[in-house]
Amino acid sequence: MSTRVLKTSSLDGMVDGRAEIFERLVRAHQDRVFNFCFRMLGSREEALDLAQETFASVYLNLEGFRQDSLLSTWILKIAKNLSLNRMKYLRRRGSGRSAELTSVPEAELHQSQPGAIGAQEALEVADERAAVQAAIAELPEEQRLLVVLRDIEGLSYTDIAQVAELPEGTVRSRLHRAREKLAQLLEKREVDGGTKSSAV
Amino acid sequence: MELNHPQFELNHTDAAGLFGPLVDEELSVGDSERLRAHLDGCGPCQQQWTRYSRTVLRVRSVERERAPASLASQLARRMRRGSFRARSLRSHWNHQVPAEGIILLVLAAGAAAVLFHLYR
Repeated sequence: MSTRVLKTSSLDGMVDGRAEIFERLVRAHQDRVFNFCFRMLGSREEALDLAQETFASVYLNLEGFRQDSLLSTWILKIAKNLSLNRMKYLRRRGSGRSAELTSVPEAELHQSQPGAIGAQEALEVADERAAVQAAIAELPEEQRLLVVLRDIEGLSYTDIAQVAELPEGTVRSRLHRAREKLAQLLEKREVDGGTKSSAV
Repeated sequence: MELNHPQFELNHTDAAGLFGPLVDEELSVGDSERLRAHLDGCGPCQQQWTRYSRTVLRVRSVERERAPASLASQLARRMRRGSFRARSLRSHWNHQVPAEGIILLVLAAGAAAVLFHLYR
């Protein structure tokens, strides 16, 4: 079911309070919203809570959807605003990032590619995933947002400009800087990791 | 950004400015050729490009996180119960007022009540 179909056919039903249509809408967007929230916050628990908040807000504010953008873009904009608020709140409480960023539970390693790859390879995939996520989490909020929207969610620059509420040219230049910064962070992690392992 | 004069040679800054469009596959054939020509003759820029493109590739290759399968049905149940608004307001309150603020407020109210009783 494409977003455009949802945009044109589902909304009337939702406004009429049809829970099953809302459920369909959630199913169509839940993975993207959850993944976005996870990449922004670095915690599965926070991401789940925030995804629920996002869809609650979608439901409550549906009448405010002007249909001048894709429904998926509008939903991500809500998720972005809630994520930034949550990050501010977590920072105030001094609990910015979860331990999930750097450690992946053993059971999960074997879940990711069941039977397809060996344990060593699964470990490498999990390490890579954790390293990239940890580096993303070290980016300043706006840079993190742009990297997540472009390189993880694969949004067009036009859609990113709408979600981030920035001019398209600004998105391009700031994303370039964000990728440069991310490259530095990943290199630093590799050097630190190499130093640690050579010291052992 | 089309730098399409046939004789145009890129300097290092121009070349770095084209990394984003190249990795996003948005570069015209002409600019792409000029950038490749610059990279072929410039070690530091080639190194920078390798680092840049490798980073983007690493981020794009990371496996996506999937939402729990029960999310949609949980939300639909909440919607039927009409509990979105209450939850939304509670969440707003929780995230706007830090716990320390609430504790101070409760302590202040307690102290006020004690003082009120003592001096009544």
